Amino acid sequence: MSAPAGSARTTTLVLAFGIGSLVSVGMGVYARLHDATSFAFNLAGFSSGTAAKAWLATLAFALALVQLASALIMYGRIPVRAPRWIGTLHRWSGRAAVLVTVPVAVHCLYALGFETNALRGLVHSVAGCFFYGAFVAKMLVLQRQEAPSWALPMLGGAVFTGLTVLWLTAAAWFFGTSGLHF
Amino acid sequence: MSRFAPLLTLLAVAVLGGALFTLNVVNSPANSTGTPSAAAASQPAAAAAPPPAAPPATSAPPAAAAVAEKAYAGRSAGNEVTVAIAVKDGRAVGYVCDGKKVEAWLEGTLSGSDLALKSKDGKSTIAGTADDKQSFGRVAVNGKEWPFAAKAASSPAGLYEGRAQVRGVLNRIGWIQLQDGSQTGVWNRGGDEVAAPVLDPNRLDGVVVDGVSVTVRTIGGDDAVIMR
Repeated sequence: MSAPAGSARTTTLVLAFGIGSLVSVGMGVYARLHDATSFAFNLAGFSSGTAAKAWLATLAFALALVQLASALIMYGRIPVRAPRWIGTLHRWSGRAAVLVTVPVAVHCLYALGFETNALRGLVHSVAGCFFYGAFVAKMLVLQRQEAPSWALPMLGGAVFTGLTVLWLTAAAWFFGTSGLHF
Repeated sequence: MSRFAPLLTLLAVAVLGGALFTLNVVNSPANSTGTPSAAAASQPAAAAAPPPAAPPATSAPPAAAAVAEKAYAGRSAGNEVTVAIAVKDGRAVGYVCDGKKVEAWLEGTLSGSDLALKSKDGKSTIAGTADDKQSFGRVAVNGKEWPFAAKAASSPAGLYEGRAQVRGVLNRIGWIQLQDGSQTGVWNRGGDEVAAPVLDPNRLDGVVVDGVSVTVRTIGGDDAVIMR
């Protein structure tokens, strides 16, 4: 590996991880400093507040499972022949998943804030900040072809792990305590 | 797909998030006064707007309070919100709500005849005076401010608080019962605020939400209403 290629790699990684980290920390600081309003407007379909959030998050998690499966196929970790559309499926299910999380996250950030009093809330808050930071880093790494080959699966795994923790500490908890309902 | 697809994805997420966020800020009850442009810029301004008349609630024991123990219930000048205040031995608690969506719990002091209360986040305040018959002053909730007048309330008029754990989620209800028999209240369902169910002041154990019986108590000036 020649020196310029090596330095381009380093630059890409430093930029992607740096910006991703800034996004994470920035969200956390905002959520902590901003006073929770306990208010957020109701989107259409958002009328039942928490339940709607839980269902959106569950949809995102289901799409994330599609992400995991399609990524494993693309990297040859599942012994099936990768269909030609697998990349398209991966990209679009990923876009849908992250877009679905946005209303949920905005409600969390704006109406609730960074929770430090209860362990579940703390884990959830940290995971939320981590998730978007990892997502930003992954998009930035995707953008640059000179990134090392381990970066993408690692970041993808981080994003998936983040979303799983988010779902377990909120939607799964919500359905577990208040029952499976709309 | 262009080679900028990942950046476009990022951009789409940022635009959606920003749009939802802006909608929130513009529609927030804290910001819905004034012109749209004022609303957009009012987040920090609103926080600074309430009069700084209120000394910190935790200050040293105040001058002897003009009233030992009393409850007041009344309304803002344009009936935007209902206000209840209870004082006891120099301590004061308050509750402000619009009966639909807006509410605030406040704590503070009665020093001499001067009332000063604020909410946990400091965005809602009551500053005024109180004597044997009534309380006057200004009430600010999330950046909006009105003058208010509240008469001394005798039972069953006054301030009530209800709590219920509904499948792990804290539901909290505040009611203000006015001397004329009318009642306003807001039900906070773990962050979602809606109009409160009706409370019969003569039967405090009669409120049920989502199948769970609500524990209701009357609030006096020595009760803690801000959750820490």
